[in-house]
Amino acid sequence: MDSEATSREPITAQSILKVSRYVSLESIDKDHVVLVHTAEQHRVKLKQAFYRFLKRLSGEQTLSEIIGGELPSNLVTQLDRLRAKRFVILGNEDVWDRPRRLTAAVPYKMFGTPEFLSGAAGDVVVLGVPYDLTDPAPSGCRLSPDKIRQRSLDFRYEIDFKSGNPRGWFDVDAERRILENVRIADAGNIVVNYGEPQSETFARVSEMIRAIAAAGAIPLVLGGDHSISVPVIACLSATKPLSVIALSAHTQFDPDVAEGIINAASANCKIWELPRVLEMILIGHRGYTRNPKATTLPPNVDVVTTRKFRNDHRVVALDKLDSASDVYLTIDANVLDPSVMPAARLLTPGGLTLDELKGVITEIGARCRIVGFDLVGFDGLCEHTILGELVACHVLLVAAAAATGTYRNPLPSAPST
Amino acid sequence: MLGVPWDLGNVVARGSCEGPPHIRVHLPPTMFADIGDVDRIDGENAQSFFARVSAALPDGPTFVIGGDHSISFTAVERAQRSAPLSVIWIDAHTDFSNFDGHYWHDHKQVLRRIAGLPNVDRIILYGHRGMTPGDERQTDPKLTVMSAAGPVPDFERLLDPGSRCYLSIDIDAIDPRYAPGTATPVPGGLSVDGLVDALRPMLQHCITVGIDLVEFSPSHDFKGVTAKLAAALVERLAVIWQASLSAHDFERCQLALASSS
Repeated sequence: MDSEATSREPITAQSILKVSRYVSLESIDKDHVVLVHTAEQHRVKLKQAFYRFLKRLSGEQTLSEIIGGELPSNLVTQLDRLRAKRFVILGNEDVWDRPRRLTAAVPYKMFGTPEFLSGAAGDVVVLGVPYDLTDPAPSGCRLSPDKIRQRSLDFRYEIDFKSGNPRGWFDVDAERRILENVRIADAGNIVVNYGEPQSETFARVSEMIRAIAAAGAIPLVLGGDHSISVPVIACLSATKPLSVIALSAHTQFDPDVAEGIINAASANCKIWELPRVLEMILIGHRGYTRNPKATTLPPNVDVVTTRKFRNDHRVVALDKLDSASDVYLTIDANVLDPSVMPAARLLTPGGLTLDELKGVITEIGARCRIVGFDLVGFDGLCEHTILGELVACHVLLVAAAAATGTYRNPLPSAPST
Repeated sequence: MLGVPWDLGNVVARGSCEGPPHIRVHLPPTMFADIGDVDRIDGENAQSFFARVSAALPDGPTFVIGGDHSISFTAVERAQRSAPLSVIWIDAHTDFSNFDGHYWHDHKQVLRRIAGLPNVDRIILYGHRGMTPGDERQTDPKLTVMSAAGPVPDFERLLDPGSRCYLSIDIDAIDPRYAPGTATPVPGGLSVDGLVDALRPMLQHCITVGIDLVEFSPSHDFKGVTAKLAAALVERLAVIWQASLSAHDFERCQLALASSS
């Protein structure tokens, strides 16, 4: 950002400057003021005299006209510093006066994990994408990252004092320790600005996913509606071909309703169109639909209905994947039965039980390499979300364990009781 | 029946002190000799409150309605004074946290304290599940932990016929799909039918000296479903228990409790 500012036109006596529209006063006393850039979350403490000078930057007069003489060099230095943080812009720089921040801080970190900072990576990095603007009905998917994070504090991430390694958790149902020595960090939520095109939000998603992948970490993405999976998978598949496994009650292969907008209902179609997505397996399809989509999908898309899964007692389509396969796992909350996950958008009866879903995820983890996963379609506006939040935490822990190799090892024998 | 409206054993989420009246309204009025709730006094500490609970417990078999799970200690402590006692603990959690110090009276470590009572010779915990910080299955030699996902415990085999038992049921053992009204729900729990079927042999073949149902929290409930479920569970267990006591054990049970008070 700094290099971008300095590579542009330098500040001179003839420059016309103005204060960014995102700047407001956070505090003021007789000696100093603290300015905050609300879009970038930058703060700066200034002397009252300099604050009085900034108030005269109207965007109409040159600096020499305001000062009435020579431009002191220390003033240029100070203005350059403020310009680098976007507190002031040149009069003709309106195009640059828009938020560049990728993520926003969140009130709770997932499982109480530390913050993800570039260069200080975790093995798994959580990223919230509170975006639900392709859902035509009032949706609470934008609330779900923080709701799930808050509930996740029931499952505290702990680092052993002596070894310095994460302790992980004990999965009572699977009778095994999971995520031992796996570092988890939280990158916060993607910034979603009012009124901006979807492409700008998704560009931020891509940039963060690139940073997480560059740090060697597996992204755990909290949606958002299902459209948010598209930029994540597009970004991860740019470097290596992927197979995608989508767990959802719906196929989400609807035709586009608006040119250039990625829709939750067409998300899987957009994913399939990505050039380096090799194949897709859709698991959990059920209910009543207008079209026999399962029979009209492209040939390299396998649809495993809930009934077929139960009849076969497993997902037969997974046989085509092996340990060399890189897989992205996208989990729509509505793949689960509404009695298990009442806080899903587009509830459909007859879904998977929690045990069945955990079984599918662990089998995928045992067979292939999960390079990223998301949980989408969680409705934070649901009247009673506690159960849904808890189930979401269980699913995410199991998926993180599957992605980091827990289920590739044989099950240890249980102690006698 | 005795209500114990106490929830200061849960430092995270209160609400279970409101449990007893919400369950009572769904019970048949003549089912129990109901001696009401233990009175609450503002600012009273746990030691003083539980001394009054102990004094309020009648000599006969009593169904105690909580309250958080810390209240079970008083009833178990009294029941084990005269003779060895097995404790059947139905719960999603092991309640074995190793807190100590002055403010130890917590629903997360109540079973550790009960395990330390001299005449408690065995504890069978059923319903354990979820993600926990560590493997809690072998925490204490007296404790047998059976997970909700595992086989249903065969109490006829696990307990000698005629042995003295205390049954404590945390409502969070039931799956939160059916019983969301509790402070610490865990997915993947038991059903009421499954639990009653599992407990029936124990109630029929052992001398059950007391039962409690704890951790129902109306403020966490959803449209009263947990209150109704809890009342139905109390009613079904009480019917089996009453039949068992009437058949052969009531006097023995009453004598056992009277001698320990």
